Amino acid sequence: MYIKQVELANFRSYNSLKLKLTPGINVFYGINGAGKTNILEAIYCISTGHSFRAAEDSILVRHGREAMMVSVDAVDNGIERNFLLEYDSKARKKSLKVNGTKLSRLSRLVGMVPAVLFSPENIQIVKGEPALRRRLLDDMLSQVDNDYFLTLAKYNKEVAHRNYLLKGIKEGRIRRDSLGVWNTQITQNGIRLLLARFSAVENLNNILQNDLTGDKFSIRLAYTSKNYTVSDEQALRESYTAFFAAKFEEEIARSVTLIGPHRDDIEISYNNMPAKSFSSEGQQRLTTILIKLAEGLLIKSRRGVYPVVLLDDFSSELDEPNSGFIGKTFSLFKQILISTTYKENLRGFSPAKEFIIRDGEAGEMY
Amino acid sequence: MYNYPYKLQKLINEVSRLPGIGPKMAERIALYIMKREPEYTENFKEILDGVKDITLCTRCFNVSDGNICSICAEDNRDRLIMCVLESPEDVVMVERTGKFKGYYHILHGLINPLNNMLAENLRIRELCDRVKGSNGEIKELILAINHTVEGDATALYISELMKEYAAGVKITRLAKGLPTGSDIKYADEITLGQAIVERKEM
Repeated sequence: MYIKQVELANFRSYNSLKLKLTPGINVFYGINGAGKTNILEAIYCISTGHSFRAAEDSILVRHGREAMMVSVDAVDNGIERNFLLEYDSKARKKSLKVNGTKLSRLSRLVGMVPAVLFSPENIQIVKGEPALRRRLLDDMLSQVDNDYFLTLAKYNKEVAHRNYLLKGIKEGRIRRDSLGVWNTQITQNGIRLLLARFSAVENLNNILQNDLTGDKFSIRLAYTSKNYTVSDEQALRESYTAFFAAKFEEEIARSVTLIGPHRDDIEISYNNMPAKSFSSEGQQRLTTILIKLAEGLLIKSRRGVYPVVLLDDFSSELDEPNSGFIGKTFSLFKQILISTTYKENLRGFSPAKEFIIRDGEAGEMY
Repeated sequence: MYNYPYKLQKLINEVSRLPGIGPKMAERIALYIMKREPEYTENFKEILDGVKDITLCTRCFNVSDGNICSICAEDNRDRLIMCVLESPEDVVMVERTGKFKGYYHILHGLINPLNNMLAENLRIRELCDRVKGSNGEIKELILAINHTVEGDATALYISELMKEYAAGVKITRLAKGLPTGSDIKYADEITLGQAIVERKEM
């Protein structure tokens, strides 16, 4: 899939903007605050229904205006479709239309315009809390697997119910045998999520090695849990049963469900050393971008559609060989949109189309 | 600042507390009631007064104006099958289908810990007693409850309990799938997916 045209009205710093994009590498140059990230953000909004950096939709509306609009023409396999996202901050209403027909629910959008995003904060996937790595898998799997998306929503609610019961048991309000059905439910849905995650990690590792790093260096993900190993349904079931028998008191004392996909981590290693503690800032950045690109290739292999690759503030910390290395992998995708400050940041590949962003306007470079 | 007379304010406030009624609509309704002739409010008062006579059926816990509701009082219903529902308004829905001829049991809620609804707050114990007390006459329980996290947990709880209390009883849940008269083309993939999983042999 590639984006042929993007049109913004009252979105962030833009009054109105219309850009024609092309397959291949599209670059937006601009100084800090010029509004280059906003263009990637708008496309991300079309892909997921929400922004990757605004906590509230109202922030997306240009200052002093009431409503914004993002319109994207996306081409998949020769078929062009228009996606129109509108948000009215006064009515607090968001709507999405595909070829003029309104989607009944925003969640129907998931996966229609697949995209992967790398932004500088994503380095926290390597450096930061386990929750960020779990989210990486959850977001990715939600894009390719509707069942995962639904099961995850159910599972989170079940864990919330169960935690509340644990708290009640601790406070003596609730009988100790009230957990039965919730143990069964979180085991069943937890295992569904786990099996999907295990296979996604295996897929990502294969993609990283076969398509991205080759034998030059290695980036590997390892799914880790305190309570089970990567295994099949039967073994997981046994681990859950053993856990419930052994750790019930601890769960009550802490009033938290201590087993399941919401407690796990994904260890990331660079050349067989934990990237969190042993890698340089540059290596961590390289690792993050390559994991994101692997995510893109996984989406491609599972859904048969090339996701649009969005690289925000590219290469601010990558040296020339690394930037060049990543540039070579771009040929594996249909369309890459890059925002960066200077042309010098891009080494080892040549853009198909370039824009200069200044004061809420974009000029094409020829 | 001017406001309505106190008694009218009180009426507006009370009406606005009804489900689905906002402040503007409450005002409209209150003023309407006020403008009507005295017989209207007298009659309304009587109707409201009668609410206290509506109780729950001691057998199925459906709403009733006596000890036993009108459905449980019917003698010629199918005694082999029982339909378990979340709330009394569901009875009307199932009755309208004309497809169910057995007796009902109303749980008055679903297991929902976050809302402080536990199994013991529902009429599940009474359901067990009914099934057990039928001495094997009840052969099937249809759990006609929502396919939500809370509905799933409740259904699971009941089926586990029945294994203990009345092992022979068949327990079924409503099928998920396509609405009647719908076009496959317009079904979302989740619904269609479920319909495929729960397909029926012809």
